[in-house]
Amino acid sequence: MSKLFTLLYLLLVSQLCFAQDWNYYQPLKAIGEVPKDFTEAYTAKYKNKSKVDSTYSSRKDRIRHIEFLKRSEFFTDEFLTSGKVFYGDPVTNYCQSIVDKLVGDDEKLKNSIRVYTVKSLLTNAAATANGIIFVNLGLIAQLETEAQLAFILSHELIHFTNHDVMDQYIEEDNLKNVEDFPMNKSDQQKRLSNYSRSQESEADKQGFEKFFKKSGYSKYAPFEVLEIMQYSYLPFDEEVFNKSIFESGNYRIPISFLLEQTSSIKAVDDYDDENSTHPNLLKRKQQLDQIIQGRSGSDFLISNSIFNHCRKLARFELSRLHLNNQNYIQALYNSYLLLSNNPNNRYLRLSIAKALHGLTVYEGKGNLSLVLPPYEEIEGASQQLYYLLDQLGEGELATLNLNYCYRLKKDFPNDKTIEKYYQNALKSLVFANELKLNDFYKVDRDSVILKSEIKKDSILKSRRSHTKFMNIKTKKIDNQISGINNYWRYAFVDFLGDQQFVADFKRVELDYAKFVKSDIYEIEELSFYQSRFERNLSLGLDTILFINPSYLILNHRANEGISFTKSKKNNIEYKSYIEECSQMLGINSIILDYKNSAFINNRTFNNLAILQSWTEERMNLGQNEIIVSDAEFVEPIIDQIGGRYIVKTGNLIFKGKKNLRGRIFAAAVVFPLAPIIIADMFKPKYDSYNYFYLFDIKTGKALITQFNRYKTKDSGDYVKSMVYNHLLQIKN
Amino acid sequence: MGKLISRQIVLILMLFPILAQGQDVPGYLGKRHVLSYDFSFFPTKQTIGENLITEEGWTMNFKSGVSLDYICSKRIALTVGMDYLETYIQGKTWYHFQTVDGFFSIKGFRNPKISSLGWTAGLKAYFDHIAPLGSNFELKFLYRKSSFTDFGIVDTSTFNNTELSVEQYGISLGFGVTRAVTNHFLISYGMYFNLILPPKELLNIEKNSKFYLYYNLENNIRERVQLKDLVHFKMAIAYIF
Repeated sequence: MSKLFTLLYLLLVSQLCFAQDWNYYQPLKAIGEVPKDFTEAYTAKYKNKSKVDSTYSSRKDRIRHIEFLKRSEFFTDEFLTSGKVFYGDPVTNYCQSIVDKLVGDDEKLKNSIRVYTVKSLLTNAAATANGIIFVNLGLIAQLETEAQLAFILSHELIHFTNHDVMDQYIEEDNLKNVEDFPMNKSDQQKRLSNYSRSQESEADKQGFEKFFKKSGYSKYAPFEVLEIMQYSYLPFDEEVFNKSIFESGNYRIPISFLLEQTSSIKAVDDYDDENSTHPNLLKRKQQLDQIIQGRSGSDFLISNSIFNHCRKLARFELSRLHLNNQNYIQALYNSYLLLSNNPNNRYLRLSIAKALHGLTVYEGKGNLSLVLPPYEEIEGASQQLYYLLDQLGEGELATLNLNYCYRLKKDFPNDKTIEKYYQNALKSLVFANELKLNDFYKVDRDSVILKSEIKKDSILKSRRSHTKFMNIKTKKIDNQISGINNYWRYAFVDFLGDQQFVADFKRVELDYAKFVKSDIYEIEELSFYQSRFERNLSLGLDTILFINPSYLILNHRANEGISFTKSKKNNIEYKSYIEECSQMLGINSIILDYKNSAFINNRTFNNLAILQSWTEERMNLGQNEIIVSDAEFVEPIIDQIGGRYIVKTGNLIFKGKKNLRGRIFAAAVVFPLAPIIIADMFKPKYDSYNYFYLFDIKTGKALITQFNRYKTKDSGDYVKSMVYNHLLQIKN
Repeated sequence: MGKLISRQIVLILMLFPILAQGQDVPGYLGKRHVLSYDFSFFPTKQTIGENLITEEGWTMNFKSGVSLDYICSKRIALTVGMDYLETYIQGKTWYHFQTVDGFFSIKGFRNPKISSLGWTAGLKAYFDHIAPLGSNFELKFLYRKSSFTDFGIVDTSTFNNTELSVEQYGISLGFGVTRAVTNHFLISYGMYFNLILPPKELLNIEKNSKFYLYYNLENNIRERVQLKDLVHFKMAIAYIF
């Protein structure tokens, strides 16, 4: 029966393989009913778990276990509701089927393990104490075979079966409470690192012996995984970067803009692991060498094609994730690598356009260094791209961007998203760089070179041929021929025959001329941090959507520095304040929340994930006028979600220690106020933040950007008052 | 003086609409008027009580009042209020009772009792949270009228009763904290200082003159009220609407 099920599953997935339109790639989506892991309330999770594991040897053990559960479930819950974790998608199902194969007949273990995919760039997988295995797409993108993935999953399974997460927590707790020879932080850290490394070694060893060995997978895979880990910080492939991707017709980037040789890759496997949580790769290889006999086995037991499909999904997703995180060069290089096997793919070319757009905007503000790391720090083939972009002078990046976007537009003329980027590229070139069409050459490069050579020839034959003046003139002609200083002026020669291009350019030039003449020449930059005491707006909106409001209380007295249950409890209260104040003001507020069982289903789950990703990127962009890269995925769902205005709001509370010495001194000096100062000394110190950002997802504009700091406790009346003030601005 | 007071009050009242112009003021959940009952107290030592013999030890002084605040911006609220306090001055008076046959008799002697009614108007500034919540400073103008409660002065030349009341002006400074306990009720607490201005009439009288020290009832009342009202802790419960 299980074989029939597996066959049906493979058939279904193989259909899905052909269902994905790679040109119009859509972000990975969750499929099926939303699992309880996402929707169950936090307090219910850890309370239920503490009832199940109820055999304790002492009261101290019981308390410690409950504290552990609170912490573990808190972080897991926060992660599950971050919008980055998915279920039921092809990658998740594939990983789950591998886990089922590794576990074999152990039904209890099989039912305890849930695998979820994480949209993360990190090359990592992790297991939690309650049986969830997270597998990052960054990891899938790097792998070569199914067997390698199986070894990684075997390793994670051991972390769960050995209760490693709990044991590490106990070890941390024991170190803090050492009565004899109390340790300083540095020694504690060393001990913990040692402990963690021993756990990782055991996970490698037992993972192989208990699950991997009998699975039938290739015994080369464990060693291959370690080799992959060694270079996991690099892109998924090492391909020489060819600048021709940016060139066209007369637009040629000089050879001198490329490095003769890119830097070597410096990663080694025997690095110092003293402060590391994992043993170094050499030690791990040596351990595996001792326990692994022979190298037989198969690279693929479930399906080669499904593995390739999942890996392709992961790699395509990486371009998007890099853009979300403003890693523009990595997004560019990742897309470039994929284009070699997917030539002219619209999604990949558009990803490159998005990356260029981001870089151009930063360059226009003089902040390119924020998103373009020094090329000397980069290893491997991708260094070429960093170097090339570093060589571009003022206006050259914007020119490259426009040239690229226009060529893309020509290939996809009816594409609204591409049109948007093209228009933005025009605007960046004219507004930020003050360039006009007349600044670019109208004749083709070859004829200019020919003329220059004729001119050079006549200079060399003239009676002043060896004078200083003629030498300077000759040098200038040489530069013109080589194109170092003016290569970019040929960028639009090939487009001048296109009336639409010329008309668009002229239109933007006119807009710029009007803008320069107008009084508002220096645009006053709107602050991204408005104070609650500033004058209120009145936006006149009726419907707004709240994206997963957050609440975090950090307390120096709490075990982990975080008040877990209070954070969650206050979060629920915060949402109730939003509902109450919205009702008072007559605003239709929809709180998009994983824990709202009336709201959450598969469709809303995916919508919420894309909105969270959009919001996160938009928040990171701040005042930069960059089109949010996920805009094309968000626009189609506006009607589904019931509105175009979304709010990201939350509270962050720090409860710390007071400076007692200063207060004692003040009480002694200003003794009439001593009773008040002494009373104040017993009150904890608070540093609280409330933020409220309202965005229009259609235009990307931030309509309200309130970030309030207050030095009191986050009492209900204070918080409710702030919520009311925010909502008042929305309504009227 | 009457004209001066009325002009001041008019000026202050005019501030209300001026300050309320063009403000999108949330108040607390949209409510901007705060009506509160204020209760003040402050312990003092060796005070003058009802008995002629000066009391030793500590005693608690009380004052009650009501106030009305109008929140006119996110940081400022205008406030007007009224309060009442009672005290005694050093002196000698008798108290008596009416018998059924219409005669009265002197029951005993005690210190004269003063009642003082104060009016304040000013503003409160909130600096931590949106008004009316959080820490606040207040600055108010203060007018007090004090008089004897049951003590009459007889002009021995005419044997007519004369009224004796004392008017005082000053400013009140304070800081406190206001919190909301429900959507309609607030509580606040704080510490306040009332600085009463010295009277003009006494400025030319020498301090060691017999008249000033022993025979000037007005001065006694002023000093007594000034001392009682100098500093106090205040707690209030308010209704916001």
